[in-house]
Amino acid sequence: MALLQQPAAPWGTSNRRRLGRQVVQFLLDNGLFIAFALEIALFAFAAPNLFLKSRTLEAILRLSGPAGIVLASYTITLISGQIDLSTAQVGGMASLMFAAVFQLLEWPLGIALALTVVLTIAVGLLSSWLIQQGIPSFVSTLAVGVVCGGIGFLIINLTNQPGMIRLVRPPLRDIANFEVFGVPFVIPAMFLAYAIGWVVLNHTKFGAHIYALGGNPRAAALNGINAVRIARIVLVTNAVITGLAGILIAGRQLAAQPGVEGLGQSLTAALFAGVALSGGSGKIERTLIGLLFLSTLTIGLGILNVSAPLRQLINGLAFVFAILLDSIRQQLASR
Amino acid sequence: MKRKRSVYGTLVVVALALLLVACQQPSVVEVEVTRVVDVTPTPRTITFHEADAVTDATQPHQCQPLAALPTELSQPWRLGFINPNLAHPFFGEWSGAMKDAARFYGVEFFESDAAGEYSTEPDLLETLLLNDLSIVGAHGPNVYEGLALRALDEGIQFIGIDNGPSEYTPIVYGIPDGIAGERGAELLVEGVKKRQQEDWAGRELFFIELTHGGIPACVTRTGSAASTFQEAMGLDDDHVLMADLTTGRSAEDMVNDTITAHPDGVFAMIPCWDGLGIGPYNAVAETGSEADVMLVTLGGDKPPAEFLKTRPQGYYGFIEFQPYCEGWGWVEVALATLEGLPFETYQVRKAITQENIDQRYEELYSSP
Repeated sequence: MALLQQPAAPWGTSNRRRLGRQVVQFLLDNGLFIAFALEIALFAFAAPNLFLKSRTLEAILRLSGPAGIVLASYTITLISGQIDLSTAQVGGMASLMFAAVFQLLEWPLGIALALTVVLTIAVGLLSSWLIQQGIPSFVSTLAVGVVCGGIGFLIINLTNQPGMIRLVRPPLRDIANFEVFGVPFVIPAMFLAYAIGWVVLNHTKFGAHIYALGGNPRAAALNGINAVRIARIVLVTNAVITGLAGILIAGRQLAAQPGVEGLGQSLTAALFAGVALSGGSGKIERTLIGLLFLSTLTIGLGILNVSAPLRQLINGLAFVFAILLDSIRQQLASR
Repeated sequence: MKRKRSVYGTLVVVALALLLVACQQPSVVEVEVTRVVDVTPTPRTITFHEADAVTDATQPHQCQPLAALPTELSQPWRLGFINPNLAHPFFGEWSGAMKDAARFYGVEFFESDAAGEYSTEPDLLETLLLNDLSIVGAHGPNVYEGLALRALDEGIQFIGIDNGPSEYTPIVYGIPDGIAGERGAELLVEGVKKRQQEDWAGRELFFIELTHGGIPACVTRTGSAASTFQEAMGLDDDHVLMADLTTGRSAEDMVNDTITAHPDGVFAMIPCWDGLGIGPYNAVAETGSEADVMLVTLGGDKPPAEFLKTRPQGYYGFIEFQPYCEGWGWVEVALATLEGLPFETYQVRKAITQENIDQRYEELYSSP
């Protein structure tokens, strides 16, 4: 009885608190892998005949491909402290520009690609110029996205096309559907994009500057890092890659149209994988897992024949959860 | 003596063993074939579903079968379809009919719902293809060619609904848009001529084509309606107007602007689908010009039927596409293609006006 009335040992309380923090930190560090493993186990249990097939894996990778290529550069953009909200519109505008030149004017593939790349470079420069004027990146890229959407519609109107431009002229169709050892080339291209991103971020001075700039722009500037130049390079690269991915998607769908669906989930995947919304932290290889998690979710819910409204709700909840994770991470880091 | 006896004994045992072995040798039997009998397989009796059985099974819609299909199919076919939006009454009817037809013909049917987002259909197709489908279909004006190509990659055919032709989809199925437009125009001419003998006598008549230039089916459908109406009413080109959604403006605004620009005119309208006409009609009614418009719509699912039952002054009627029968027919066309059998084109048969709407509504929607 006397023992029970004694106050708890102070080291016990702090120990419990420390243990709690360690558990939270462990979950934040490894939650993505645990969630991914749980997700696979859940779908494998719910639909073993359909889910545990090599074709399902191919479908997941096929779905991830173009978005994955964009996500690799998008992750670098986020780590540098810039939030680009114009991806869907830039992808759509680029595909329409390309389709107008390549399909309607019947100019050579190389020239059509070069003109589209020039246009996307201009878009990236515009975004970075607006940021240079002191406008936050999410506002400036949002505005640039609206402009790109407008350019897309303008291309449709000027070419007198019915809401989209058919993109069936060879050899684009064959390039978009080209396979390497029976695997759509977009899948190895995605892994290649990640490999390049990983090398840039982890093994170059430029990568170190990106982390430094995203983590503390003022300190980075004091150390002689040219923030404007880095923001420009990052945003231009992201716009160009997004544009090329937009062309790739249009080539597979045989139609270019304003706004490319599927590129918008980059932000969710990146946040889910631990890339800070405020920049400065995150690992590119983890965003690949984040993307695979979302693609598996899409395919798995489809296999389970989950209704469309519920699917949308689940995707929305995944986004909310990703933002929440980011918030918890920031709170822990600030303590 | 003893040794001699044991030698004999051994010889007897060996002889017996040899005899036993010899007896176990298979005996060779020679058979003399004296007569060869011709053996031909008994032909499988193939019976086909009766047209009346289909009509009965599709009550109250009473669909006409598009193909005579065998009661026993050659393979356990697996059909897949990406529905553009299950929450939409018209597409919802497709879905119910496809499931009923698949059950009727004894095949498996797999469905995905794009929930109004056509751009998600390529992703949905990837999931649907995991079901080892025999054939797949979808409705998606901007994406169907890509879907068809992807299906061909997997070695299966694609049969869309209301998409129009493409080099990747040799089979075109759905509403015969040109004919549907003509039927709508004929109904509208009937209504306009009645009004011209009453309150529209001597008024300047305009035709408004409400369309979506991005949807080839719409361009054909309303284009056919416009030319039929123009010819029947003897209108010049200045009196045939178009409101196209691809301009980015709402149909309501475009129609109201047109009416404002011609204050003494009367307006006959045909939209590509019901909602595209009913919205502007209500917008005109709100401005007090209901008496100056006459509408015939194309489609005819539950919402326009309910609206027509309220007897709006200028809503003359609609051409009923019978979405249930269209959905049912897709299954028949898909199975006929897989079985290598001929099939007929889907037809639009019913014109519903304020005179027969009550009876039709009772037939379709009053049963529990």
